[in-house]
Amino acid sequence: MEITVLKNVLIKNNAIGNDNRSLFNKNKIFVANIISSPGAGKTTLLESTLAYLTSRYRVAVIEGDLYTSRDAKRLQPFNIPIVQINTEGGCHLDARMIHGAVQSLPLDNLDIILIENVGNLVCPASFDLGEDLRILMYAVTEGTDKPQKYANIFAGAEVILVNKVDLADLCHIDLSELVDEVRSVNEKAAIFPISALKQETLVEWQQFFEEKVKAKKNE
Amino acid sequence: MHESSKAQQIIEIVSELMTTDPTLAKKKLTKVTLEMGRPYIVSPDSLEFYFAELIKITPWPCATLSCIESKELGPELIIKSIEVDDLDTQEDLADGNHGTKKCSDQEQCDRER
Repeated sequence: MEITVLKNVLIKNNAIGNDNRSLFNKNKIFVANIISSPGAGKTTLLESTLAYLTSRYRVAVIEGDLYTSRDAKRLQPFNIPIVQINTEGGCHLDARMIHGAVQSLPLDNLDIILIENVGNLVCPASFDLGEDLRILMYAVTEGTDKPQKYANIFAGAEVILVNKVDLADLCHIDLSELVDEVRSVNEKAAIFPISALKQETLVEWQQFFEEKVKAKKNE
Repeated sequence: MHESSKAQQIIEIVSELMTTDPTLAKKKLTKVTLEMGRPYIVSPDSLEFYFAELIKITPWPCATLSCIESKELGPELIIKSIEVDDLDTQEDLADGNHGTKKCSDQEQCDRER
């Protein structure tokens, strides 16, 4: 006997993601989910961004890694709440992991939570964590061909940070060609060419981010 | 790799259905049909492989997963339907094992598949 079900496989994750979102909204916390391939520069971006944000806002970080707490240790000098999630081989963070992680955060004393997802351009695309902003970081060293190869993750990003632009010439990367490739799968995302190591390239991005945080506070 | 968590989620959803719907109390799960839209977000073969492994520790170890393409869907995974059968024996019913005993033999499981 066949029985019609018609349920999205991610229904449970999405329900928990929505619970997370409600919790963040209730506390007026702006949450960003940072996704990239391994080595694109997520943790370096966090270091640069935290250097800017922590004097203005109360920030916490959720660090996702398969193994080790190396990234969390890199961020310890900022003296902010950091929760390390080790997925033990899992290739992405899901909403349930975030729900667990926020239990140990002082939600009534935070403005921003930055989530560093597991380095992967495939799996994190499917999982809503309850974030306000999905940021895809992409390094020019990865070439211009990846937006169409990894279309789901590029299509789902609201912000695309094109990192390591200072290496573009060395890697024979034409930035305008890369932007065209991104636009072929995502017409709306805000694109910021940056070098996470160079504060002067981050100004426009940081202003954009801060406006988002303020908008959430004023909701 | 994320196929394993997707397979786990499929099993969680159908397990909940099988254990909470009173009309399915005396049934065993035999097949799950999954609709997938393009571009695929999982590899169908890999998903079916993980499903076959993870379903072994449920009350319906012989149940299979069948992935079919849907032109109407985008990059989504929708559980379209399940197929159920009557529990085979009075012993199954009494034990509430939903066919586990009958299917616990791997060769029989493979034959049913």
